[in-house]
Amino acid sequence: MGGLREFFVPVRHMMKKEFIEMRRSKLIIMLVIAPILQAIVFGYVATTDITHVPTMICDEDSSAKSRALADKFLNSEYFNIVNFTRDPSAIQGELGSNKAKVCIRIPKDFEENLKKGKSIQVQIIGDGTDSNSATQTMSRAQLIIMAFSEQIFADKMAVMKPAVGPLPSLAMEERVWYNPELASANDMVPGVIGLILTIITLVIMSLSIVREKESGNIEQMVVTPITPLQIIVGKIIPYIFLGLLDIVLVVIVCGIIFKTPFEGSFMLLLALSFLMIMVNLGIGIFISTISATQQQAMFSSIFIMMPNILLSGFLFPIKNMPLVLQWLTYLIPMRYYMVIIRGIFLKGLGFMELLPEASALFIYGLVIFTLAIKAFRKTVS
Amino acid sequence: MTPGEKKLGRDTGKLNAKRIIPVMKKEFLHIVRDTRSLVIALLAPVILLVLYAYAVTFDINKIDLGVVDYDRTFISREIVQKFTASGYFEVNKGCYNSMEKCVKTLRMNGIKMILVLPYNLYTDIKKGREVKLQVIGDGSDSNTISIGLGYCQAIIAQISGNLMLETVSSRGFDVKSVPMIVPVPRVWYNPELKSTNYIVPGLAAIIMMLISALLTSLTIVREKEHNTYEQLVATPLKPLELMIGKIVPYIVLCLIDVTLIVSVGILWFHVPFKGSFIVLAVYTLLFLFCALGLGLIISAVAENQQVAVMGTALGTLLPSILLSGFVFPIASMPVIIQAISYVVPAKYYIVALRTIFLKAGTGFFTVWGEGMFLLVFGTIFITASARSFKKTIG
Repeated sequence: MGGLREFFVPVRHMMKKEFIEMRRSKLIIMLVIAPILQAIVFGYVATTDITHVPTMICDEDSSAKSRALADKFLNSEYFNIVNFTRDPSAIQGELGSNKAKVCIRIPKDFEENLKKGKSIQVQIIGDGTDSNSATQTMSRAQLIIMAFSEQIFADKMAVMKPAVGPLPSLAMEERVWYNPELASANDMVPGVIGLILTIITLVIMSLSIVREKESGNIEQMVVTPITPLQIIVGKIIPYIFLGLLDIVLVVIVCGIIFKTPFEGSFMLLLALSFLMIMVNLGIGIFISTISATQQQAMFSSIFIMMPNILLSGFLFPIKNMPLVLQWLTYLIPMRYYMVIIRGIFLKGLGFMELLPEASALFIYGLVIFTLAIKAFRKTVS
Repeated sequence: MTPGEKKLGRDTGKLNAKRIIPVMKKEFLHIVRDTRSLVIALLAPVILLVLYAYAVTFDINKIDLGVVDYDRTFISREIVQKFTASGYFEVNKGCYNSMEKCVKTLRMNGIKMILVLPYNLYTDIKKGREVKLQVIGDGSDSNTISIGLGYCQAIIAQISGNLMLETVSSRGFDVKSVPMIVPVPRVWYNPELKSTNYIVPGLAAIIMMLISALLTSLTIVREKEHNTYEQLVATPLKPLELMIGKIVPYIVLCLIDVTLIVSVGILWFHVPFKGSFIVLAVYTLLFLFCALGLGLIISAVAENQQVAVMGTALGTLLPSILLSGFVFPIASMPVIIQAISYVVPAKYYIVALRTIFLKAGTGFFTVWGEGMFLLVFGTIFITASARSFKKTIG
C-alpha cells in the first residue's frame, strides 16, 4: 500500500496544478455551464417532425370541393399557408425566392370531374433544394390528399353498401414502445449528452499535454522525480471527475426540463460513461503526444470529433450508409456509446444486454491508452 | 513618445497599409511554417466532404422489420410480401414468427419495427370485417419510426383499398364510377430528389465554418500565451489594423478551400451548378469575413489556447450542424431556438450555397438578406475583437 501512496503523491500535485489552471482561465465555468446550455438548446432543436412548412395553394378550380381540399391543408399543423392564389404563373416566383417550399396545385374542373367519377391529378410541387424536408413534406401532402380521396371513396361505398354487403378493410393499430409520444427530444437528449461529453474530454485532453510541451514545462517535469505515468494519471483524473459531473448535471437538468424518461440504472450509466471518458482521454493524449503545436492538436481533435457526430448513428442511421462506411463506424467510440446511453435512458437495458458495446469500449480504451502512454514516454525521453 | 509615433497615433480614422502588410506577412509565415496544419487545412475539407457526402443520407429505407404472422395464409403472406416489395422494409428472418424473439431483437436494436398479423385474418376478410394489423415501433429511434409508421400506413391503406375494390367487383358491381384523386408529386430544382445535391452544399458550408473559425481562433490568444502580445501593444499598430492583417491571409487560404470543395462537388458528385461563380465568390467572401471574425473574437476574449479551442469547438461544431437548418428545418423549431439560430453564420451560407447551386437565375439580390446578416455579424465580430484588444492595452 505504501507504494501506491507514494505513487499518488506527485499525482496529487499534478491534479492540483491542473485544477488551478482550469479555474484561473475560467475554463471550469465553460466545462460545467456550456454542456447544460447546449443540452437544453439541442434538446429543443431536434424536432424531426417537419411542421409549419411555408406552403402555397394554387386553386385553379375555386369551387366548394377544391376549397374543401385546401381546408385540409389549412387545418394541418404541417403546413403553413403563405399564399393562396388561382394563378399558376405565380408558383415559379414563390418557390424560386424561398417564400414557399411546396405548392399544392388543384386543377380546373376539379369538382366537375369528381361528380363524373373521373380520376383527377393534384400536383404537389416541392422545392427539391432541401430534399429531406421536401421528401417528408410531400409524403405528408400525399397522405392528406389520399385521405381526402378515401373519404370520397368511403362516401361512395357507403351509398353502395346496402347493395354490395359488408366490405373488408384493414386498419393499422400502432404501438410505440420506449418513447410512446415519439418525442424526438427523448432520443436526442441522450445523444447530445454523449456528444458534449466527447467534445469536452477529447478536445481538452488533446491540448493539455502539447501545451506543456509548447511552454517548455515538460522539460522541467522531466528533471523532477515524477514519472510519465504519474503525469498522465494526474492530468486525467480532473477530467474524469468533470466528465462524470457533467453527466450527472445534464441528466438532472434534462430530466426536469424535457421529462426525458430514465428507465435504466444510473450507476450503470456512470460506469459505462467512465469507460467512454477513458477512451476519449486516451485518444486526446495520443493526439497530444504526436502534435507539436496546440494548433495541430486542435485540428486533429476536431476532425476526430466530426465522425463522432455524423457517423455514430446519432443523426443518420448507420444501416443506410454505404458498406465501407458502415465498417468504418466500428472505429468510432460514439457508435457504441450511442447504443449505451439511449438504451439505458429509454429502454432500461441492463449490463448483460450492453455487454457487446461495453467490451468494445473497454478494448478500445485499453489499446488507445497503451499506445498513448508509449508515445508519451517517447516524447518525455 | 517620439514625434513619429505621435504622428502615427493622430490619424486615428485611417488605416495604414504599411502597418497592415507586416502583420499579414507574419501571419502568412505562421501558416506556411506549420506544414502539418497547412496540409490539414487544405486537405481536410475535401476528405471530409467526400466521406460525409456518402455517409449522410436522409432517405430512410431498409428498416429492419420483425414479422409475426399468426394467420399463415396466402393473404397474410401477400401482405408481408407487399411490405418487402415496397423497399422500405427488410424482414428479419432470425425472429420470424416468434413474438418473444422479435421483442428481444427489438430491445437489442436488431429490428426497429414489428408487424403482427392476427389470427383469423383470412376468414375475417372473407366475411367483410375490419381487420386490425398491429405495428410496433421502437420509439428510441423516433425519426426512423415516425417515417416508418407513415410508410406502414400508406401500404396498409393501399392493400385495404384494393381489397375493397376486389370484393365489390367480385360481387358483380361496377367500380369504375368511383372517383380517384391522385396526388402527383413534382420536384423542382432537384428532380430526382438526389440528396447529395443538397447535402454537398450544406456540408461545404459546415466544413468551411469549422475550418475558418478554427484557423483564426488561435491567432491572438497565441500571442498572449507566447508573451508577444505586449510587444504588439507597444507598436503603433492600431487594433483594427491588427485584426485585418490577421484575417486576410486566412481569407486567401479559405478561398482555396472553397474552390477545392466546390470543384469536388461539381466534378465528383455531379451537383448541378446553376448560378454564377461571381455571386458565389461574393457570398463566400461575406461568409468568410463573418466566420473568421467569429474565430477572431473568441481568440481575443480567451485567456489561453485551451479555452479558445474549447469555445470554438462548443460554439461551432454542434451549432453549425444542428442549428443551421442542415439537418433540422429551422421553421419547425421553437421560436426561441429560431432566434438563437440567427447567430449561426453557417445558416446563412447554407441557404446561399444551396440557392446558388441549384436554382437557375440566382442573382446578387436573391439571397441578399442572408448576405446582409453575414456582413453585419462579421463587422460586429471584428470591431468587437479590435475593441477588446484596445481594452487590454488600457
